[in-house]
Amino acid sequence: MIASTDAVVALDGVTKRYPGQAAPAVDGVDLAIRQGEFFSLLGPSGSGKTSCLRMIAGFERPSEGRVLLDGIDVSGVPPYRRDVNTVFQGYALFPHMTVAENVAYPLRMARRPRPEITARVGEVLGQVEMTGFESRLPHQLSGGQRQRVALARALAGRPRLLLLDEPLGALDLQLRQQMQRVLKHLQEQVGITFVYVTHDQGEALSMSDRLAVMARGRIEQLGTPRDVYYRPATPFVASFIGKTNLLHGSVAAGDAGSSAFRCADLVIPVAGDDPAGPATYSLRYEAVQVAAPPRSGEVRLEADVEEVVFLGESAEIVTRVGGVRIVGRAPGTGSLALGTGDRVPVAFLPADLVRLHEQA
Amino acid sequence: MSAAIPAPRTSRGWSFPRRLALVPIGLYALVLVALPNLLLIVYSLWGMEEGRLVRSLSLDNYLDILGSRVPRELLLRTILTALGAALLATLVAYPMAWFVVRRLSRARLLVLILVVVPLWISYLVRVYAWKIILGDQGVINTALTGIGVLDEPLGFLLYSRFAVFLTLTYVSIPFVFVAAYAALERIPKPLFEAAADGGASPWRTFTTVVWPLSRQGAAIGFALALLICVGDYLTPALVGGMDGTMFGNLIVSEFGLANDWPRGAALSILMLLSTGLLLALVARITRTEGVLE
Repeated sequence: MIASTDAVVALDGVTKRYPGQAAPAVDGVDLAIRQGEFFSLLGPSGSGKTSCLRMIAGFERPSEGRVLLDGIDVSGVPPYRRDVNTVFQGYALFPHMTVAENVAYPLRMARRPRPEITARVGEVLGQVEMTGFESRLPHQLSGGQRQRVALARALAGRPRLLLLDEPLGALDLQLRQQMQRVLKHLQEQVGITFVYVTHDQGEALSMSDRLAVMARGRIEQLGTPRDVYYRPATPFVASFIGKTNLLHGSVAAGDAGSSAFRCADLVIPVAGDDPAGPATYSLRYEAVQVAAPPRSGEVRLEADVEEVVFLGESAEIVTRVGGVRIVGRAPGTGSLALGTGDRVPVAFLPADLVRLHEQA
Repeated sequence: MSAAIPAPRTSRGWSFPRRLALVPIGLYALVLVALPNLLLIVYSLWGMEEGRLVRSLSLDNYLDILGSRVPRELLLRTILTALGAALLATLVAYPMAWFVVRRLSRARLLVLILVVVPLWISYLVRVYAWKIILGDQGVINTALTGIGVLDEPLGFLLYSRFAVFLTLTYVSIPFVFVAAYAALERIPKPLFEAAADGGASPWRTFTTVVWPLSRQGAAIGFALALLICVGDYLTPALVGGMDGTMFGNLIVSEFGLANDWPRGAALSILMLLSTGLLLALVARITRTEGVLE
């Protein structure tokens, strides 16, 4: 792969093997992250996302391939000579330094003049709303406050690139949502490229400009949150992000340029250009309407309710249609009337069926 | 004030069983720490006249010791030797501990055991081993004369201040190592990465993060070594000869040969005070704020 010139960071055929492990942690990853982008690496634990981040930071060396920063190969450059800063998972604040000393650390290491350091520390602490905490020690702060200080420390040296390794993992739900907004606003404000590692799809979808979904050391799909959500490329992506029905069957050409997808006893019309042969389709839970008024062009089937899972604002209705299990969503209030054994219409638009690539 | 107090509490807010648990500790401190030292102080204020104890309080012992050259010089020399040995032991053991913590993973336990194993062997045997190494017929001299580097053995190796210094350093190393290792081991690994990430070279990572977070441990090791060295009378007796005499030997001879307990006690107190002063200084220099979690 040739890295595009506007890529702040690029991985070029990067593979990482750890001694004593059979499967590589990262397996031939190509990636180019653009200037000013909020980019997420999303995947379950062990998918290789943190290894990618650590290679960009310089804590690990790729076994094969190259890491490029601004088009320059930095594969062998130690972390302290890279214009990259990291927000660590456990914050890694220096326990013997005050908040101000922690934030000043990268500036001190860069041997910046003292007045500049003082001014910059005040500025970044203001950006993360931690003004007034300068002389506290880390153990005197709450988790959310430490998080903000870690962020301020990473931003203090105005790096070309900010790496965030599951930075919100240790916070409770409310604080996490609040920090998501803080992070996103901050990124827009400072214009620094963010590379964000997370296993939380909600975080990745709500904050990213683009994201890469990773599994078993490879990138399964790379795209905007909307792409990845509505046009998942593989069964893994479809089921990892959001909730989806995976329908396995085969496509056969019909008459007049149309095709049909046969799945157990169901026959569903699909777009005519879908190639014939074995196929898997993804159908999001929320694309399946249960006991709703008919719409034009929809596929409408009679189904038996197997289970109703009440979730509050909505409910998941597990149904069986012609030997196929299809789960749909209904508003929470609408689910009250439904019960196991009921016969209800389930409906979806053919456009909501997404053909997936089978995994190698 | 609240109207209802639910249960009577002791003045410190501790229940009776918890206070009871403090009794053994208190007894230990009283019988084995406070009383002997008190006794030592009292003895140092008494005197001897014609071989008989005189139980009247005076500072004569102290004035006499500080007024004469030999004990004064011996105290200074002992403290300098002990400081030097403890310092050298720290300079050897601390980097060794740092290397073990940072570089070794599988061999770590083995190295730890190798360093600590000498502590399982009697102190006397360990010191005696140096006689075999340093003596005229010892390992070093026979080797050097054997291969023809020297015509006759090096005399200063054994029965000298050098021998005392070397042996005390050797004896101190495991103690400093264990203390430094424990401190270095406790530093969370992500802090090293955070320092590198902030632009710190390995050396600056050491000076700004590793040393501030481990110097208390190094100081404890150093203090331990200093205490061992300063009070030791066995090592000088075995390998020191006439030149290598230390303050401890003087104290022993006052209590033993001279049978002048008050003078021995005063010497002990003087040593206690000077060592305590040194340790307070070390603790002050190496203080670090902050809490490791």
